[in-house]
Amino acid sequence: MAYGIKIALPTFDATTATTEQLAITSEKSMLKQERKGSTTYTFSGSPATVTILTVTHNLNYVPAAIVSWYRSSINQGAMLPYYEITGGGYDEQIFFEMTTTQFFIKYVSNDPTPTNRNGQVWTFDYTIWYDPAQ
Amino acid sequence: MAYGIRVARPGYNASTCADFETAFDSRYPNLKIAFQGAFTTTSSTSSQTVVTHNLGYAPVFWLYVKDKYGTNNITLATTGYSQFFRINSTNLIYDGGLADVIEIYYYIFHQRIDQNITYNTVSNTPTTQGTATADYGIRVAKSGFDATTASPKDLAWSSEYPSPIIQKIATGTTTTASQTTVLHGLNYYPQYFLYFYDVFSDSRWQVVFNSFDLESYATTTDIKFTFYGFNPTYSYGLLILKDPIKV
Repeated sequence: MAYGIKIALPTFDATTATTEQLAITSEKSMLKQERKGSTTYTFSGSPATVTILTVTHNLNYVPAAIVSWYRSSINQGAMLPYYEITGGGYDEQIFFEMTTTQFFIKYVSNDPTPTNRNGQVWTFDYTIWYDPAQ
Repeated sequence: MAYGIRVARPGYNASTCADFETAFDSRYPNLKIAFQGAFTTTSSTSSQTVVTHNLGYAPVFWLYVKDKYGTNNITLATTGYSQFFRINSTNLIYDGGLADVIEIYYYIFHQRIDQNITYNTVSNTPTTQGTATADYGIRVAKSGFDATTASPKDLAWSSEYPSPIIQKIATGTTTTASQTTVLHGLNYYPQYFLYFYDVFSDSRWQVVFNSFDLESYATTTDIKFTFYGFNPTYSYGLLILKDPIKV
């Protein structure tokens, strides 16, 4: 490459630093945020399946994404996917999926007596990137 | 720092914004993509090399898989349920398990899993996003594309489209069924990704999310996790991003 930009982290020399010692370099791509959003969902009863969020992105390819969750009642946050064994060989999951046009956050339980999450408030923050996942 | 670069995300003031409101700052790195690609496993229980990266260290990676939940959609992969994806200093490897044909899509980043490092913190205090009234910033196209006309996915990076920023990598040893606490010093709930080493005695790293064998969560001061494995102890690598779950 005849031209570009390369900026080193503190104490490193941009002309000799490894890629790991650079803050940014035009020789390497980074994820590029298409959108960031948030939704708060309050569980009602003991659902077996819920589509918590549907977002239409219309990128016409499947984008990469990540999702985090936060619950103020327990002052904890973490990343999706979330998986929990509910006993008797059953489980429940909260996860996200992408298609060429849409992004989903879903809750699924295969337990015939799903966990009673009635009233639980979960906040989900999602980031969708322009960079493809497929 | 006597010199460097700090570029805010659209609508923020680079002089006063929080670190997670910047697009780039030369005092701390963004996640840089080393490899991105696709691989379809064969219906064999033998180990299959997804990609040879040859970085010389075990790097941070994410995987997406198709049809994990029976919907034919794409989702972030976890290790488990007989879908074992692990990485070492040369290869990302799939271990057969169910002998399924699985479409996977990987991102491997220029960041070691197994080395403690904490990057600079300039400001953790959020500011108010204003309207981006001026059309300025930095945009760099991928090789072969024109930065003035390239679509966002054909850019290497751009201050218009923020990218994850690294706060620290913490490594150490966790004891099975005992909670480990890693301080992050951010004063908000940060995004994080957790990796464990040698869980299946194969000298490789795997990414883990909350599941039957892992409880983890962020608070405003730390990341706490408890792993329930078969061995007495495990080595871990914890990637903490400046990007918040919640401020």
